[in-house]
Amino acid sequence: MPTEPLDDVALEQKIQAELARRGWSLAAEPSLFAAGETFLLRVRQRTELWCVEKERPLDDALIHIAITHEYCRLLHAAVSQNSSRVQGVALQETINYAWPAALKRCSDQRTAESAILRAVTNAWLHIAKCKPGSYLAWFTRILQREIQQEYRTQGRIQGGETTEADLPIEQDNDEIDDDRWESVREQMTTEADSAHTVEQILSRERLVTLLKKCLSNAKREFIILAEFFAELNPVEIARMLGVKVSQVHLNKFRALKRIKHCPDVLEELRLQVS
Amino acid sequence: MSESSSDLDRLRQALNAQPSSSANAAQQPIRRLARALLAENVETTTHARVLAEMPAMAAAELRGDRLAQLFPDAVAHMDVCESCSLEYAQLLDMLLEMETFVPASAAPPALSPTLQTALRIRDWVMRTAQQLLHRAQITYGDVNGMLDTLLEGLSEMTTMPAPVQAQQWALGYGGEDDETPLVMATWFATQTLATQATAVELQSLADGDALGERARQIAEETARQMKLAKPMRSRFVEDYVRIVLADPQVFVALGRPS
Repeated sequence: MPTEPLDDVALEQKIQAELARRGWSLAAEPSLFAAGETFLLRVRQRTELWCVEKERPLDDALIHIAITHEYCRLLHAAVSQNSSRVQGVALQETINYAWPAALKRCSDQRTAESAILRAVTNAWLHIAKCKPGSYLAWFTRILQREIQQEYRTQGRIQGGETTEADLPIEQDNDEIDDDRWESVREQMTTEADSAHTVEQILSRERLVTLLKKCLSNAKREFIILAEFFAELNPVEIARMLGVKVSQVHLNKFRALKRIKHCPDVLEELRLQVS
Repeated sequence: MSESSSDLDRLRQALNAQPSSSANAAQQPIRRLARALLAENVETTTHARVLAEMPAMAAAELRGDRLAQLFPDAVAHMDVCESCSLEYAQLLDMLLEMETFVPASAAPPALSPTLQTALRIRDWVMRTAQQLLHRAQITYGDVNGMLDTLLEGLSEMTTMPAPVQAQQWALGYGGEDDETPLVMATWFATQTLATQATAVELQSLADGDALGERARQIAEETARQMKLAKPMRSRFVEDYVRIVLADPQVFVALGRPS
């Protein structure tokens, strides 16, 4: 995808604003860069690569994820280094990043501190297992396990474990507005490439109608079509519905359980996979 | 409403009759939905593998990559495995929260002093422990792995462990051998020195030719507290001091920053 050339000044401003918002300082740490290399250069190369690979336009969202991705690589390199000073900075920034979420999920500050300090120790010890570009997600997973451990040993987590009881009671048939449906239908059309026969398109329409009748719930119908037919990711579906990803998960499994009891849908599926 | 088992069986037969490789692109979403309903694939990809892939999946998802294309096995597993799917959903919810970055009501904790010390001394301890084991002609294995095991309990390691605690750690690592106590004694002696003194204080000891004596005192005290056997105790102390004095500047750098 052709992109406009990047303006270094504008990009640098965006990077500095994001680093300041996060309180991230390693972009100015010389030991993490080869001679002549800078964080700006890395972000610039990353955005250019992704514009081509992902066929995405160069916009703020892409720049934002490129900054996070490249910063993850910096944090990984810093924690892997032999310099205790740089390691200390990286681990403290890791704590600062995850602290609000840890505190929210634990019943008190002491428990949250205990979980996050254990998590950061484990991150340091097992850094070799981490893929550099997903450092923050990897750390969050360690933290999630430490919080669950607290939950198991002390049973005093407030929001770390989502159960059905924690989620707001939903209406039986929440309405989904037309715009959201339109994006899913559009994606389904994109996924159904031109090689599909008329018969296949009609069969899919038939299946969609049967699913709608079976589920009788707009939100669950939306989730099943968005995930299985439009191949949208859970985060995209959650954003479109304005709910937590955990709610998408619960609704998906409730929907699948219901479909198992709908002979018409099962028969149509059987015909279509044959 | 009872589950329509015969309908599910017929669907399973139809699905298995045609291999996935021969299905066209239009059939793939249908087949994925069918597999999700039949709980297929839950055995082929283990929970542990999917759990290990979750960070990379979550990072890819937040970048806007298509999960079903990049991680087809894990996605198929999570279509049928409720626990993995919920675990993944909770991870994503945490990450999305962190992206919005709402400051917490309390300030984040600082790295513990124990961890700060551990960051400074770990490499030195590993190299030193290997030399000590080599000099004592003790066959040794993965000292790095042993230190990992020891350090996983770092938050509880604020003071020297009682002998019984040290014994438990040794047993946890693999038994009552000569290797474990020596590695642990090296760790705790160094931790004590690097916690008690700043780098400047260690430098001044080195300048006054008193670093060896200080290292000897701490090594003897550690060996005594850990109840090392007598021949091993004296050998440990002598070799430890010799290694400290072989390159005092490296050792001085392990002290606390001023």
